[in-house]
Amino acid sequence: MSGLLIEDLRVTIGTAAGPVHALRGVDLAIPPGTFLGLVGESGSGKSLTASAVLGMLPEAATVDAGRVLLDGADILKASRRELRRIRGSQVAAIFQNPVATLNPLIRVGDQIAELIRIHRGAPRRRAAVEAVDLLAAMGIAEPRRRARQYPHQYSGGMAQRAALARALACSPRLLIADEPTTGLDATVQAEVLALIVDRVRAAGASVLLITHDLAAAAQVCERVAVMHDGAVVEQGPTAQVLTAPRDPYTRSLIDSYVLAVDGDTPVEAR
Amino acid sequence: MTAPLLQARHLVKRYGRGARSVVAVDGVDFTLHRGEILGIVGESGSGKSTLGRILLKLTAPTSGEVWLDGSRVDRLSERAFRPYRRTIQAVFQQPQAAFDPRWTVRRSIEEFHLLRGEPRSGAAATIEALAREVRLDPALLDRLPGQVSGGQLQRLSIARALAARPALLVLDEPTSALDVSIRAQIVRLLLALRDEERLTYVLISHDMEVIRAMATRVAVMRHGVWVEEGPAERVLGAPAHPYTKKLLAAADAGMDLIRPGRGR
Repeated sequence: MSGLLIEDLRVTIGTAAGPVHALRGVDLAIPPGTFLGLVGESGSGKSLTASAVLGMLPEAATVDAGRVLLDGADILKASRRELRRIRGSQVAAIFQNPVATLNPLIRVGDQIAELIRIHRGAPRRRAAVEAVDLLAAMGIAEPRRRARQYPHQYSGGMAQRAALARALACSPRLLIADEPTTGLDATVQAEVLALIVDRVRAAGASVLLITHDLAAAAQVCERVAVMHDGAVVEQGPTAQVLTAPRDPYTRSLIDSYVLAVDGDTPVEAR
Repeated sequence: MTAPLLQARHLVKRYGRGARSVVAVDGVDFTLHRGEILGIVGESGSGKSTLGRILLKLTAPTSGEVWLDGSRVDRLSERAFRPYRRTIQAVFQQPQAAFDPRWTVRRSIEEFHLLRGEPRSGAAATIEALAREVRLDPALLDRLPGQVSGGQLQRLSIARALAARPALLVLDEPTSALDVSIRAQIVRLLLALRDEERLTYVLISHDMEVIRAMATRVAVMRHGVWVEEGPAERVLGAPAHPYTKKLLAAADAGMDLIRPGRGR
């Protein structure tokens, strides 16, 4: 089966206070070329699920059960060497803080070119040219000049564009976007979301969009999964989950997300 | 007709001098009456937080005037302003910043209470009453700030602000660091407290949903300028400025699917 399939993933994290059952049987499916929004509040296990897909679970984590199949191969069983190949070429990620995601000591263009050289064996000069083209494709003005700059010289929205360029440099089949627009201004959020949709659709890849922002998921995802307390409580087509939620937790999440209806009905004082 | 609670008269805040100076707040005028909730919306760098700090007298304006309860306060010395510190209090995005990490939250609130010149006797009862006012178990008062959740700590920072019995609260992104379910609780609490305590709020937020739920008047700020201001229904329902329209469109994207799912 191609795409991403997570089956009954159970992960325990060892803490000073004893083991915490952080993922309690997560089931998720992302068919090729589709967007899945994984929504939930902090601590629900969204980002840990993403770490499992990237083969980057923290040291203190133990996988108790389950499979994470990316295009049929179980990531949890991959060797370090295989993981290095998979990350970048099959699955790539962007995160909430793009400036921190990029290496602060390396020029932005060089970071992208490096990936192209490693994963695709492209010669140095061609990789550099491709990196500039990628920045241009992400809507970065003056890409040649920008490629020679360091991440701290980028604004937040621009850094996220650069991080997306790097993530997509080796044509991954799956992009994990973990809170990619959190912390950006509303108008920049809209631009970055639109860019992700446009570039990923053009590449025919799929997306796991992890977000606490229901509206962002509603805008761009065909399917939505709701996580609570280490489990997926509901998943399905976006319109169905959001307009006719079946699970009580989904319903309460939607209720608290919408504070006012049409601006004239403030939430009642309790 | 009583004097307005708060007035800003052509406030300007400029950082630096000459060609390289930056104008953070560029000529803001408004009048706020008791019981109103003025929502100030804007993106980062719009000057909304700087404006909040000027109102709180944490930052001095370059020019312009701030009038509180009929008196001009922007030129007052810190000592002369002290009586007004009771009138105007603040709640910020990061409640951690309002508490000393080594003290129990009770001690932080008590310190505040005593600084206001309140007698020590009866302080414990007053502080426990404040905890109940913000819908918290008074038992939490004996914990350290690190031992309560973010939502609980934000309630405690509201209790701390209320300890001074203020008339006006400047709320600077009070829910931005919180999960949505906690955000809804804090919004409900603030609305209820406004009625119970007859409070007036200046609510600074980039979160249009919070502004929509709380504000009676809305001002939109961009590059230090107040681009549009008016009754919340008018500004949110029929925005006149293109920038307001753009902000509202960005905030509303996706909401068409979410609103109908509410309360089923």
